Amino acid sequence: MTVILACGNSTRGGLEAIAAARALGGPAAQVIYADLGKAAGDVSGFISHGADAVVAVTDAGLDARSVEGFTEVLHRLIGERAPSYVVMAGNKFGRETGPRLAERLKAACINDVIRIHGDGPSFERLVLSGNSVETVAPSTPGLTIVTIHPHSFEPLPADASRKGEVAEVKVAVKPSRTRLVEVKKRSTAGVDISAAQTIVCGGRGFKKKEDFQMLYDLAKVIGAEVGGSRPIGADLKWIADDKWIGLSGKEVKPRLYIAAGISGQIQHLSGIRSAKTIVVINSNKDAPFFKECDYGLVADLYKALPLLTEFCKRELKR
Amino acid sequence: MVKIIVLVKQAIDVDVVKIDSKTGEPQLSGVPFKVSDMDKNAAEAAIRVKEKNLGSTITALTVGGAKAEEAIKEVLAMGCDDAIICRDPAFDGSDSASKALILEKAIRKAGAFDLIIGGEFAIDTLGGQVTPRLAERLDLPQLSYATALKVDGGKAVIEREGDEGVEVLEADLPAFASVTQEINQPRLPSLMAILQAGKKPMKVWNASELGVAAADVGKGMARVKQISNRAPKSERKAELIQGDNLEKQVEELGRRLVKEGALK
Repeated sequence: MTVILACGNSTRGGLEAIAAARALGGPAAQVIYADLGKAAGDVSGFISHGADAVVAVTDAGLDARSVEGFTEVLHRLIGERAPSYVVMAGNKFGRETGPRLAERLKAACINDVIRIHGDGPSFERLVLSGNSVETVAPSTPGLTIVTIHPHSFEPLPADASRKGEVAEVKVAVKPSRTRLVEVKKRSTAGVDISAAQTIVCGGRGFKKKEDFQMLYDLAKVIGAEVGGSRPIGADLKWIADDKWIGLSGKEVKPRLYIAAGISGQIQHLSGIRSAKTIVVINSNKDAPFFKECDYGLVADLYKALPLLTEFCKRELKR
Repeated sequence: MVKIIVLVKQAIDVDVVKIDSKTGEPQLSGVPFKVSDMDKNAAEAAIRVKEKNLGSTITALTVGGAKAEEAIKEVLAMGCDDAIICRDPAFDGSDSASKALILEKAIRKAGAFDLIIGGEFAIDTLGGQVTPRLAERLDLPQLSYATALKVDGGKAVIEREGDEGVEVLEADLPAFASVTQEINQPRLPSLMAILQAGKKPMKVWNASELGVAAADVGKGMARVKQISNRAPKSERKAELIQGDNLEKQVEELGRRLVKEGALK
């Protein structure tokens, strides 16, 4: 039987890792979930969402976002459980710990996987700045460590009838050489844009910062969050750091994504791949974004946005 | 005084890659190279540490082919002091684990250091593996995904985006840090700096000079094989709302969105 060790340090990350492990091993595999998130609260939920067993690891040293501590704990767990694969959550924890762990174990590592084909198995991941998808497979037998891309694997639906062993393991890791000094709470109130259901996003088509008010007006009417493209976030700083959408900014997965004045560079598109419906408003009919949207409107955003806001006010009675 | 090593990769210039319309495969032969975007951020971060810590030095380090000098000259022009190129036919096709091995050998040969800075991933492979693997090989504390970096009192301090807010992490030197594109805007070197870059010291080390066995690196040692590489087909409708009356077009757009439940 194939044993797969899924790991995470947050609920969402853990559920995605378990879903990916299941995609890899199918129903027959034994999926053990290692929870490194201080085992806060009830971890049995991971069983109903697809794990066969849960190991909840507790240690004060793991609180420090320490790659070294995580590596040490997982190295030990792998020794005990002898999995064929380790699937790491699709967040910073997974992506920085996976390769380090692979190096310690002299194992293959496949980073940032967006899709898994269980037969083979083979793994898909983005390359060339998001322009292309490569399919890869380990070239040698033995342990393979897989880290997944955020939002690529939907948590499995809960099945309350599933049963499994839940064990708590107390470990003592070496004191971390990486120390967490503080967590500065975000200056912007409001929800995490990566979790938003509706997003309106602006780019260089806006002539000045004040004009972003048109986006805020529309956002208010339709209950959206406001984001910006890389030049708006990184260079012009018109929006908060955590509202910049794209490959090196935030990745989002809204039901509706409205982009105004964004040309559609591949780095931006990589951040919105999982959006359900994409609307693009741009005055340049040759903007590459028009090929990657669901509905396009070739128009001056300065005219189109207020009209859309007025329409929504009437139609949605707000 | 901080002794810094900056890791530099010559990556495929992803902005000029064309996709074959029949096969969907990216056409990679003859494509130009550039310094991977985040590696320029790493060089800039190093230069800013040097500016604040008098007497610091920056060595740019790369595993590179015939054109590696071009990439290295770019970061030398920005302000790195000298460079090491690891080059050997045996290195061709090396995976991230082999590259980490080569870099480790080079760093140990180069002598003492305080801080290694690299990009969070390379823009062409989007791999992100070489740097954590190298940190493991050198047994260094690992500060990843920095959006700010400073060296102060023998410590490296970074900021990075966390789930709950900005995390401030620190580690005593020697340490490793990887940086994101958000950390800074890499400087454009002056013409004078570009001309002088070619005169800065540049060493080229081969496998035997590095003490790397050819059997441990290269294509034959790659732990992962590529089966295919293809641009994804867009599954979007790409429907333009046509017309000559913007108000009506916007209404049409709005009604479509309401109808499919996107707008509610």
